[in-house]
Amino acid sequence: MMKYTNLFSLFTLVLLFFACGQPAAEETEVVADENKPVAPVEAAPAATGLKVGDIAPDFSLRGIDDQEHSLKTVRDANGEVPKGYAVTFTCNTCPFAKGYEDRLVALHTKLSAMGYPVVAVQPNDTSLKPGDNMEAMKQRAADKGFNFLYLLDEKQEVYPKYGASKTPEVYLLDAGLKVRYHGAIDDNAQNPEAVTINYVEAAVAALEAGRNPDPADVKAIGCSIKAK
Amino acid sequence: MVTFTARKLHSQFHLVLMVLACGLFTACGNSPAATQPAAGAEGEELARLLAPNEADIPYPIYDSFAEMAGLLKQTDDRTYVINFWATWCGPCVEEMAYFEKLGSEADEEDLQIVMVSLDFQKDVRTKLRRFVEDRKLKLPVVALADGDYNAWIDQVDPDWEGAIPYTLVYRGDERRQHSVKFNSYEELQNFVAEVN
Repeated sequence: MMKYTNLFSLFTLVLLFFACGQPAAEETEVVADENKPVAPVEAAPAATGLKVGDIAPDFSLRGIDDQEHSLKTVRDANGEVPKGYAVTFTCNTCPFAKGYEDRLVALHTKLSAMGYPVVAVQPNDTSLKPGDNMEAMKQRAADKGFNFLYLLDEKQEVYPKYGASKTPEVYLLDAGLKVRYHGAIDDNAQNPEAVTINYVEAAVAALEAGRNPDPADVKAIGCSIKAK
Repeated sequence: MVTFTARKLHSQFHLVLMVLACGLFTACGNSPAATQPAAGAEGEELARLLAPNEADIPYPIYDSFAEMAGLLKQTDDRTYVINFWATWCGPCVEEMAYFEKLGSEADEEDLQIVMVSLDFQKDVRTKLRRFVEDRKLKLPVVALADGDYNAWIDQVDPDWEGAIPYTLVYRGDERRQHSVKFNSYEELQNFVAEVN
C-alpha cells in the first residue's frame, strides 16, 4: 500500500516537472543545491560577517605611528577606556572614502570626547593598491590632519572577520565589543552640506541614552575592498 | 536513494515529495509563460527605460531608483546582465572590456546588458559623458544619481552590501549576483551562462 502511494507521489512529481517545461532543470538544481560544490564567486563575504548584536573580534594592527594597536589599548580623548569604538574601514584611494575624510576627523573630535573614538582600518591589498600602503597612509593622514588611529590590515585578516565589503564602512561597537550599528556614516556621501542624518552620531546618542540604535544597519555604495 | 523500510521514513519521504511538489507549483506559477505580458510591451518598456531623457546626453539620467526599477524586473525570456559601476571605480573600468566583448558576441535576442553608472550627481552630465564618448561605449548606459542608497540597494538585492563593482544577472525568476570584479572574460561568460 505504502509503496503504491509512493509511486503515485513520484508520478505526480514527474508530471509537475514536465508541466513546468523549461524551469524544471533549474528546480532540479535548486533541490540538489546542498550537494553542489559552491563556486568561490558565490561566497558572499557579507553573509559570513558580523551582524548587529554579534561580538566583534579585537585585533592587533600597526598604525601610521608605527605602533601596534588593539581595541583594548585604545583610549578616548579623555584618556579613559572607551565606552565604544567606531571601527571604520576606509582607505586613501576610494572616492567615497575620500569624500568622508574631513567628516571622519570631525566625527572623531566629537565622539572621542564622548568616549567613542574612531578607529580607522585600511583593508586593501597594498600590492594591488600602492596608493593605500603605509607610506601613502602616513602622507594622507598628514595632509588631511587625521586625529584618529589609522591602522593597516596588512595581512587582510581583520576585515574578513568583520565581514566588511567596502570602504567606507563603519562598525560601531560598545565597550563589550558588541556591534551596535553597522554601515554608512551618514545619509549623503556626495555632499556633506546636504546630510540630514548622521547615522553614527545618532547611534552613539542612542547608546548614551541606553537605547538600541535605530536604524542599526544602513547600506551605502562604496568601493569593494581589494584582495587577490 | 536509500531503501525505505520504516513507516516513519515513508511518511518523511511523502512530506519531502509534497514539499517538492508545492515548490514546483509555486515555480510554475511564477514562470514567465504564466504571468508575462506580451513580449512587445516588454520590449517597449525596456526601450523607453534605456532611451536618453535629456538633450545632448547619450544615455538616460535617473534621479530616483524607482524610475529605472523596471530594468531589474523584465520577465521576457532573455538574460539580463546589470552591471553597477562608476568612472571613478578602477576595477569597474577594468572589467568593462569583458562586458563589451560579451555584448558584441552575444545574441541580443537572448542577452541584454545594461551598465548602470553610479557616478556622482555632479559628474553624470560631464565626466560620465566624456568617458562614454571617449571610450565609444556601445553598451547601453543608465546614470543612476539617487544618493539615497539605503532606500534602493536592498531592492536590487538584499544580499548586496553596496560595494562596486557589482553585477546582477537574471532571467525570469532566476537571479545570481557577483559582488567583486570579474578577472577574465571567461569568468564573466561562465557566470552568465549559468543563468541561461
